[in-house]
Amino acid sequence: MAQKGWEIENTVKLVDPTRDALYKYDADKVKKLNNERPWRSDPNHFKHVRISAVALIKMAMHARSGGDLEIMGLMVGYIEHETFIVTDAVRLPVEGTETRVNAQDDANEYMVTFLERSRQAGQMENAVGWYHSHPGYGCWLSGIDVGTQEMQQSINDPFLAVVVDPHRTISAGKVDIGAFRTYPQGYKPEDSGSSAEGMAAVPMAKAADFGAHANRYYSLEVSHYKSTLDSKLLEALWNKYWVQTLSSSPLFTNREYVTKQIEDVVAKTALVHDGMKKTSGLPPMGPRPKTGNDQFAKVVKAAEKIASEEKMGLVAAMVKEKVFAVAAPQLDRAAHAVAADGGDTQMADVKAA
Amino acid sequence: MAGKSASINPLVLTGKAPDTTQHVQLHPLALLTISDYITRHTLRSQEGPIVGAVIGEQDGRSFTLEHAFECKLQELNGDVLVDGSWFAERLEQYRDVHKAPPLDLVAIFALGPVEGPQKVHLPMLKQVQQLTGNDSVMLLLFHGELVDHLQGGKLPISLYESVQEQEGAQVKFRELSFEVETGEAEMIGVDTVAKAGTAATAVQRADTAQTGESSKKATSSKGKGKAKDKDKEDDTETAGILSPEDDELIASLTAKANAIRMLNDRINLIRSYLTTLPPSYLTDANSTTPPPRDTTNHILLRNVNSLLSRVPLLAPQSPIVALSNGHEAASAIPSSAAPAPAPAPSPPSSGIHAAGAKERQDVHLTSLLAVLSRSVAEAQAMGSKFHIVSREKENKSRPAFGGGGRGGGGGGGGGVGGGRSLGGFGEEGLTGEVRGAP
Repeated sequence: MAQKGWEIENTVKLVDPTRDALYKYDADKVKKLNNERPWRSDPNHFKHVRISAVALIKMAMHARSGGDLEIMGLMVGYIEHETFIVTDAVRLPVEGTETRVNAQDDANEYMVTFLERSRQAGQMENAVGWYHSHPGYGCWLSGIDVGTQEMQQSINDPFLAVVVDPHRTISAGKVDIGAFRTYPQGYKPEDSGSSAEGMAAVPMAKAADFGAHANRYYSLEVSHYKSTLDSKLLEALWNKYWVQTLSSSPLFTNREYVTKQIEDVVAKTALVHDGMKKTSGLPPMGPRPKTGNDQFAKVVKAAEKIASEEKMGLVAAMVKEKVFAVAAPQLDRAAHAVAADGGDTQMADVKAA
Repeated sequence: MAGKSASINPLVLTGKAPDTTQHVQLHPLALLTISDYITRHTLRSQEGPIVGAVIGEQDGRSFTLEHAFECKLQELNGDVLVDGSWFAERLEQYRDVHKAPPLDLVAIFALGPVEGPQKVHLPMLKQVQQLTGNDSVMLLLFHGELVDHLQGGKLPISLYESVQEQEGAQVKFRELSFEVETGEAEMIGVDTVAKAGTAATAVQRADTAQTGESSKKATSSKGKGKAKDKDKEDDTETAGILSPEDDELIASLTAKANAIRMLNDRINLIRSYLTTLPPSYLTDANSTTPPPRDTTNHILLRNVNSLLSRVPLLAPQSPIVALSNGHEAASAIPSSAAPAPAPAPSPPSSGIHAAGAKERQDVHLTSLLAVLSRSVAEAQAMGSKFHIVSREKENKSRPAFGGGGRGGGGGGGGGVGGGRSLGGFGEEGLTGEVRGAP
């Protein structure tokens, strides 16, 4: 095979075996782990998730492209110790997954053939999880999601569930993503409040769904990684997209979403208020019910989140104003001065030179 | 391979492109996918050249390059080709999930030297063009040798379109220029990864927790981020110093600061260029030397001039002027002018000033409301705690009374009422209780 022109020999210089270690794939090691199955004995075995740069961007873009409709996809990768390593993400041709129980079945054929073809092309990783989006209502697992994940964990373990919120992502300027695993049926986690606490901002309409299932799963710690080649390219790319960073107007783009968030906080506050009024008449029996306080604390957290995001948007607008618009009147005057002196400045006769 | 100097490549057409130049936009995801594939391919010692396809949108003469995927290859008569049936089906699968807007094949990517497409790239490109019936499939070459010498934000890739001058003649290539364009979600994703993504070092059993912690908290960029990291890992007890909201704020401010620094650099660049130009009649009215014809870059000067003429239009004084061109200031680079989204729209009567003030007030109002909610929550918590404390000491000091004391409590703000019913004795009891507490 004619190697000249394909530049194979140069690629070795582009990677760093230590710092890009996660890009390697050891099929034997994976098989061994799959046979041992250490996660069977410990429901909390998996604690961390590392997501590659491409996987993260693909998932964020896919979630955003769905708009207000939930989308769904597959993640491929492998496991190591107590970590899931997600190397790539694949879109599935399914939509509106939150209302249907078995959305994944429709995409089964697609999934199987896609993975088969990937293997033929040399991408040997197995499916290691699924991701879907919750546009505007946060990263957690709904009743249907918990059911789906439980089933996957019983058939396809090790399997991971990831949720992305594209609206929050755009609003906050950071990818809003969460990773979860369900507990087996009947398992009672020791600290039952753990997964419920971080979820301050679950909207009213979904709160019932959230609360009913919050104890059946736990969240894993998510971190991202990128290769050395990625870093170099990103440095070069930064030169190109700093313009967008400076010129974005988050207050304007997110108007609708923020309004909805505020409405939601208002509704929750009213709910808490009603709750307070009810319990105030009765003599308190023993320690004051914690749920009232907790709910209110969550409302406060949600309100503060909205306020901080708005503040960031305002900073963007103020920066733009300060940098571009403040000195504009002086420049205007200067420009007018030049133009007034004679728009077409007369040049001395060129031929004389 | 002669490094960076362009040796004559018989396959590449030199000279200016015709007037119907194509408008090509490259998305960072495509580039990162290619880089991801290169890293994987190399580290896993896979065989064969690195070849793949890029899909994007084609709209007349403008193309976008949005997603990429690797291809299965086969060898035929010494030529490297893609596996035809595999390729067709794979492309169909990608088309299935990218329907709105519909994406299709726009380019093939491969590694290649700086000089341009080589003979080995030809058969593959021709095969793909035949497979898809699309003659305008471009060739994207990734230059591995340039990666370590990237200067001025140049990307180590070149894009070529194939040109067939006459029927049956040798297919030649012409280089295309492209610009980088991102969508919102893409930009945020790329941003997140650029700042917070750590190196892909192998997972260790002992310190998975460590790496997880540090990568989560490394939201501010480079130097500052590393220092903060170490602080955070040392005092994990006081890890709550910077709440996630503060973290986000810092990250966004740092990003803005970097962007402004970049803008400043670019403006200085333009300034220094202008000062190095030879003196002309503008600086010295009596000078008769004409500007040197060859070295003056008129296009550049015209761009700078048009940029400067746009700047005064940003003044939000008169509503008429502000509406039309206020948004163009952000594209402050001569080489690529990507129009930015407009600032808050102004109702014709009050102008941009008033709209800006309104926006500011809205933001301050939301902050105020958030602070109010927090104060109310804290007051309520304090009230209930006080109530519990007073009730407890009531029970302790008057065991004989039993239920009576309890009933006097009342509702949320009823802590005070409980104190009232006990009178002077209660005061003493309360302080006694406090002293006795461990």
